Amino acid sequence: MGAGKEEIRDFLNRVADALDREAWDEFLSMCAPEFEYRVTAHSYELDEDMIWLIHNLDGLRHLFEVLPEQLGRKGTRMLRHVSIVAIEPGETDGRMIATSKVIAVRTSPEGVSELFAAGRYIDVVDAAGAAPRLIRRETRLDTRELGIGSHVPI
Amino acid sequence: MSSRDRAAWERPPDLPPTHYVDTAAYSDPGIFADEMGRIMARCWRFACHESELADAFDFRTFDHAEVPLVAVRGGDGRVRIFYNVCPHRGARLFSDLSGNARLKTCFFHHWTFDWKGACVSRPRPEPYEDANLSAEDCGLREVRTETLYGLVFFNLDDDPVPLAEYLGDVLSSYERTLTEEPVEVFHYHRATIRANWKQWVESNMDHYHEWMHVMLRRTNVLTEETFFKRRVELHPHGHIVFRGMEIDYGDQATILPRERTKLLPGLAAETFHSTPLFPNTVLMTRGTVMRIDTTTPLTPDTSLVEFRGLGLKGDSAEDRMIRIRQHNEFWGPMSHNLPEDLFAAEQCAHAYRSGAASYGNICREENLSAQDDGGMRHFYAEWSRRMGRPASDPLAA
Ligand code: FES
Ligand SMILES: [Fe+2]
Repeated sequence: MGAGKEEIRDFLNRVADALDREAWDEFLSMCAPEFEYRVTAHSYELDEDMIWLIHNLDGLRHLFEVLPEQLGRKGTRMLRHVSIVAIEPGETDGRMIATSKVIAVRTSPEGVSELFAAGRYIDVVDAAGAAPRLIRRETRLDTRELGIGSHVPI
Repeated sequence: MSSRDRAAWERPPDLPPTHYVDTAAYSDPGIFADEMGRIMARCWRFACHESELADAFDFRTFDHAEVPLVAVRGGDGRVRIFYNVCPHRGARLFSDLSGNARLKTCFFHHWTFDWKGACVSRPRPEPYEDANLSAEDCGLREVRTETLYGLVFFNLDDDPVPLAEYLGDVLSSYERTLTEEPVEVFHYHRATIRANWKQWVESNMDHYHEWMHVMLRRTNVLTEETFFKRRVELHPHGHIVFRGMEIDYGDQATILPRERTKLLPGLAAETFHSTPLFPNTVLMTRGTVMRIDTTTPLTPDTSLVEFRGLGLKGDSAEDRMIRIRQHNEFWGPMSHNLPEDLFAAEQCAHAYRSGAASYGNICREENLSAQDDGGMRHFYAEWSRRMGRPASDPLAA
């Protein structure tokens, strides 16, 4: 018996929490080997969909490894508020598709919080194994002005 | 060696005046207003790439001027740019960012305009006729528009030098890249930053900052003498070309190899090449992709930067994905380099805004190799000429 909706809901909340805590290894351990992460947005200027970031597991590992050396201010935090809208069976057996609304709030080292991005997660979850795992995450952004940008996945 | 007291800190550097910039040039509201009138209102500036208006009657509105503008491809195939303003009572005529419209009717009182900017109808026009306000006098304000290699430029001045004369041959090295095969924009994003517009323009002329980027520190390029031999070419009207050279990234497996088969025409594989155009646009390439930055001054200490990524229109889905990845690696909003560059601009702006720093130093001379500050001095020579005052002492009476 695979994971049910409640278990997947709990799993996705834990994924967001691991990212918020910058527990990158914990996050990676919740991803399947074939995991793909992408950040997308629709440009009304070009009337085109865009991909702003696309990584497999190796790409993400490298991103996290470089992160401590990337220029930025120590103490900058990102908090993802996730509200799960739907969890439905995918086309492949044992896979579930979860759609969530996400609001990412960035807090400066001085403690000033501001809305960084609003969008949706479209997740494909492997629900067949002993514990759920992420197979794919698309962060589909409504927000297209990200200030100076981010080195951290949203 | 010692630290400095106030007098020493605020004293002009003991350098030729061409070799430093007074930070008032970044923060003084009077200078900002003059820049708008003497530079922005008179120079040719990049608007968009032709592919953003592929078909007849396509339009594209944009904010990167002091006035709202709209570019329209006419029934005759030509791109024209107008103030995006209804001549009746000032409504924003095109409110969508892009679209297609043979005729445009203003939402407010339904005056209608054609693609040449003529007013072709006004509901119940008799009182206007009684008042002697003919439709002829109700056309849109058209601004000078010219296109080179598919790049659309505008000039708010009605009587500028022709674009070809303004640019000279500064873009000639990109002619093949932009014209041999149809090119299109696949990436667009913008950033409103807390920095003066010139600080972003400078970051694209200052190649001495390469140590700042973790991904460059991790390669062996910064230890190779040849890397510092890249050339800076100074062109008339304040334009600059940074000639690229092939860069061997060594076995940095994490830097995506530029596959030769996917190169844009005229470009070598691992070559970074960049062309800052005075005053506010930079074209740059890395083998497989082109980026175009446009910087718009909003206030003395806020600027809108727009970023475009370009590839080939005929790209297969697979090739396009390669280009997207290679674009995003250094240039996307979540890339390694771009957030670092924007961070730097904002951090410097902080000091300039507060007056804590009195002068910016642009004195490196290295026979116009890449880390020579000659590019920035060239920019500020043109700035000083147009502003009628030196950047080293811009508040001088
Ligand atoms: S403002 Fe456009 S028709 Fe009146
Ligand atoms: Fe940089």
